[in-house]
Amino acid sequence: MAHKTMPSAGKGIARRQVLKTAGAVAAATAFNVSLGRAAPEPVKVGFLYPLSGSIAATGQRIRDAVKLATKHINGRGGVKALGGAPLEVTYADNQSKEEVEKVETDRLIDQGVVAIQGSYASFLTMVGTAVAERRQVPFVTASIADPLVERGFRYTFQISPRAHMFGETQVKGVLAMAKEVGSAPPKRAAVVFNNTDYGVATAKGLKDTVAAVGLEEVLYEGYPQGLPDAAPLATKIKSSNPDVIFPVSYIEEAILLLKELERQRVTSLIVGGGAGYLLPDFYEAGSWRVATVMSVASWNWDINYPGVLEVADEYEKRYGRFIFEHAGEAYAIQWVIKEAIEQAASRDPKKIRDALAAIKIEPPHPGAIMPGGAIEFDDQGWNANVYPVLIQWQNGAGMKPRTVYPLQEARRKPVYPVPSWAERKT
Amino acid sequence: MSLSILGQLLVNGLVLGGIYAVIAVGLSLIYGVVGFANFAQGSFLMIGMYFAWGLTKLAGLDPFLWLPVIAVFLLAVGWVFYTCLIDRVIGKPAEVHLFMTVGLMLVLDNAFLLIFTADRKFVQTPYDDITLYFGDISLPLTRLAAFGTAILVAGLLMAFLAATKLGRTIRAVAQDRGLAENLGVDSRRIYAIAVAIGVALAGVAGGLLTSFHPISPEVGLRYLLIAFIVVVVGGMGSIKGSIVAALIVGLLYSFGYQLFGGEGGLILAYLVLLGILNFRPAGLFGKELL
Repeated sequence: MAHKTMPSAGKGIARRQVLKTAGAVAAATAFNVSLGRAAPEPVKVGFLYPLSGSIAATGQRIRDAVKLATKHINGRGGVKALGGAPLEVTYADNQSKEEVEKVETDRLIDQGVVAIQGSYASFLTMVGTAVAERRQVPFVTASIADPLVERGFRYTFQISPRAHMFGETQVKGVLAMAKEVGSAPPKRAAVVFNNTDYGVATAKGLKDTVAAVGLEEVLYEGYPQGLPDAAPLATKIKSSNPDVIFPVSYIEEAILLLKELERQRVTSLIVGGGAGYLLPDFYEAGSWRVATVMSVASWNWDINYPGVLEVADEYEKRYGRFIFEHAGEAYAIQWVIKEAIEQAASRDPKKIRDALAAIKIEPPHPGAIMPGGAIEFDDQGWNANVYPVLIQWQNGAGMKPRTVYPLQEARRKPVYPVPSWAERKT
Repeated sequence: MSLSILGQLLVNGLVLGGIYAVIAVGLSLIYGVVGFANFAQGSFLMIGMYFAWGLTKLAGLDPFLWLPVIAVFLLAVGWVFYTCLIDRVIGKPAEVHLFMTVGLMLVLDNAFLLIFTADRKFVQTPYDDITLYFGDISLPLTRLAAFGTAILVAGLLMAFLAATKLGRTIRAVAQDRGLAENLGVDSRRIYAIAVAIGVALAGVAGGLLTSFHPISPEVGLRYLLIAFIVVVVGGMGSIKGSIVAALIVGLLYSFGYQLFGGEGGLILAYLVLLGILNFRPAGLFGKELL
């Protein structure tokens, strides 16, 4: 057929046409040989994250991770129970808005996706999961809000640690970590927080834990959203003379505060509450100052499970930045969804839901890379094996967050007590 | 509280006050000469910040070196602002000016939100890392430079108003428009000049801020409120009053923050504002422009 069209068409086009057609013929032939029938229809999986709006950059990095996971899944034979059907991702953008999340969840389901993953920010995921529940399509998430799995939903699955666990790990983890390295644990704690609902709620949890473990709370300080000038806050922290600072802040505030703490030579250990403290942007704006800063995390690129470093390496080579917390979880979710389709051996969202409820994948499965190892869901739809880890920004093959606690997840030793700023700079 | 912390609070407050001064001086000039409160002043500051950011990003020069360019650009913006909007409502009741300038503020802030999104932008200077130390008290070079330039700009404005013919004409119109017009002064031209200078000052303040302050569309509103406190405390329309009041409000903010935390800094400034309005309704320095 290709030969017939060639003489009449222009040369360049003709050659491309030939190659395309030849490729298609070759692919078809290969399938005919190996499967003895036509290539199976791809299985559609929904992707619903912010791809525009204020947190668009984060959503795009998650998209890269899902692309990579899908490539790996399809490269290893797709869904074998469905005749090697490849996964096909349908991408949707919630624009960081609740009403768009609602509309887009419906739209994805109308387009025939068998499961959805999303949506980074908990307030968005709360909406998407509600729609998915009504439409009876599984929605798998790494958002951390506690209420996500407390609504009696059957179609919501949360693979990440839950919000209330982070503050506890932030405080208790630091004490345990100090004990492990044989240094005197911090005694005086400062809690500083963004004066928003999120900041106040998180800080309250920190305050309680600080009191419960017997740390002395030397400062409990909210600051206005936006924090135009971190100098007064840094001075206030300095005058309270803490051993450890627990800041609850968005990334820009985190960077401003970090710079100001360095200027005013406040050498306390900084242990962030996740989010901004885990993003590549934190180092890109904060530069060498991020050295020794710690944070809690749901996941980290060097977490000690088989295959993780290879994935992290490929992601970084391909997309230029290390694979950050939520992107890594999205990678895991894609595998979890694939495994559920596999075990359901069906494209029926209801059957896939039942498979998810019964699933158990363990390392070295390429998706079983969450802290705690095996991924399985309890009656609420939560992966009860998981717990937060502590990371610390360390240099050596690039300044990156390294998992330092708990030991079984860590590949590096924590740097504690933290050195002076002058030493951190070198 | 240790001596070094006290010193740090003093430095924080004065540096902040210097920035407030440039913002407030422009507002005060416009109020003193033309007699309206310009609610769009914060938006002009924001435009100055984005302009500085854009120039630094595109042409790579230092934000401080761009200040003259920013000043000229905002001078033009101010001129257009006067001739297209303000000139049409001269002599109309204060609400008209209020609605017009608040409206302009909303339009500008949201237009920038649309174009540049809410993502905060940063200007990185090569000397961002340089901090001077006096004992344990730290003073970042960017802030010292911003403070120095702010005081210099405010001083230049005062010298201009005191010593040049145009400056004296501006003061004459501010004091008695009718008399000045009878003496042959084109008061509308003077209004245009005063508004243009006032807007340019907001732009310069924006340029100064960019060296250490994140840039976002809502930044103007934050500084507008503080500028109003400063102008009222100093005396509506008094340049000298604005400068002194700016330093006072800066110090109040710094110490208020330390003592009462969070929003405490501003609460203290608001309380002082109420007190001054009670005892000196015309502000510390009254209504004289200089």
